[in-house]
Amino acid sequence: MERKKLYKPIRIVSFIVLALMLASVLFAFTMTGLHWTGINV
Amino acid sequence: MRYKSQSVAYWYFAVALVLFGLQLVFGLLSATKYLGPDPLLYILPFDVTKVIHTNLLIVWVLTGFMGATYWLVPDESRTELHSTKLAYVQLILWTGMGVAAVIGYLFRYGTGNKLLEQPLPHKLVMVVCFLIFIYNIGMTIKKSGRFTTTEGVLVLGIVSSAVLFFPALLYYENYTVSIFYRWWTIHLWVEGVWMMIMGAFLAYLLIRLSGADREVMEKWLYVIVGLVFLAGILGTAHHYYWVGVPHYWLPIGGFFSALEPLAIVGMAIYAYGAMRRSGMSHPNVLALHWTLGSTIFTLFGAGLLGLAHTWPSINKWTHGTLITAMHGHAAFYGAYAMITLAMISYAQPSLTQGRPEKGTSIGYWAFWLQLGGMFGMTISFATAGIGQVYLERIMGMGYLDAQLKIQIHFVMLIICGTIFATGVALFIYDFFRYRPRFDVDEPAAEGSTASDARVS
Repeated sequence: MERKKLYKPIRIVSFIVLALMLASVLFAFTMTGLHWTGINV
Repeated sequence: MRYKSQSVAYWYFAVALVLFGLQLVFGLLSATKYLGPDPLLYILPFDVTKVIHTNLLIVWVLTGFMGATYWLVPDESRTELHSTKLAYVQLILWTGMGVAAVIGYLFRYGTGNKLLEQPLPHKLVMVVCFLIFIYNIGMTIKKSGRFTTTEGVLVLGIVSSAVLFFPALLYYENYTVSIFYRWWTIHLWVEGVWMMIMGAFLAYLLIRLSGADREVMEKWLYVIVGLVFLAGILGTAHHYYWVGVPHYWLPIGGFFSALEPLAIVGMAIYAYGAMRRSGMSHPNVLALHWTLGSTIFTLFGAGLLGLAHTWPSINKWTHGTLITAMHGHAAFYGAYAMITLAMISYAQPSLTQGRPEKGTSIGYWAFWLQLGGMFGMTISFATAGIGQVYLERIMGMGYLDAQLKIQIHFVMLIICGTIFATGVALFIYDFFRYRPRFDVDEPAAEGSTASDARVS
């Protein structure tokens, strides 16, 4: 496979990783909200 | 890019950045577990997310080191790589090993030896990759006949890293013996030979970015290597304080690990001196940010925060608490993540099509958000850790009761972690939005002189 052709697949992988990062941030903030009353503030 | 084979670095950097992003996913999942009952408890428990988080760190940083080396060596030796095919084989094997290890951890397939959890078959693949790497680099330098001090320190760091991986291949029934040898790999990597790799990248970047005299810059490298050897080797003993080894390791560890920041201070002075001497006139200002940022953040995270809890009388209370996480995050980010990102930022304009030399505004946002986020994370760990030490270790409160009292710091950790993750996401986006290029933009001249070290 030509190296140039690999750019598209790795770019797609990078977007998947960016989406996973966003999902983990949203999950973290959801959990913060859900547990807010339990958090000793 | 002066040599076509340098383009192999693009794929190493691409894989490294993808793994960096994944590392943050598991870091955020791990941090969230401190807030309360976790719906992912039986799918992704803390031990699994943490193992993946730390292993991905080691793998992506090493991938970045390999890519940066494949970029640096042709430039320094003024020749094409011995074999680009071997470099690609190495990358495929290495990435396959990393992905298989992560999948394995999800199914609880690991050794349980902290930071060296990779099962033996994975470790053997790592050995093969190290051997291919050393052979390829060695043959490139041999072919060219030009071997600079920067390369010498880099190769010494890489070969030593490979040699020091051997204790990790052995299995010990006794836990104390296992810990004793585990640090031969982990400590001597991160507080010993990886510092040489960092020093070599730093020298390479400073010579090119500041245009400072190569001879002067490389003399400093000897000083740094000397300090690393002096303090780093016996400094291993600061991991031996409370693990069942004889007491004489306490003063040895205390004294020599307290000397470890000397090499780091040396590096910061070195970078500052280069910039003072030559100014900051290089067009790639973004790479300058990462290079200087790396030395300053290393001084803060590895030097200052390491020194803060390396003495046995302090470490007695802080060992294995969030204070360790405070130091670990800032030190690893400053010393190894930032220098890798500096090398990527330096090489990017040549490796991709249409990227401005001075960097993009997204690139600068990525830099400052990462820096601010990591600083905030470090402070969050520090405040949580101080509370934890007083409540748990001094007042004698139970682990979970103490945890409840310090939970608010984990909210701060998640906020700062999100800022950091945004910076990393922008870096990843900025890297992949430009297509790679595989042609040389500046053909190497025959019999070029030392002054060509100044060209980018």
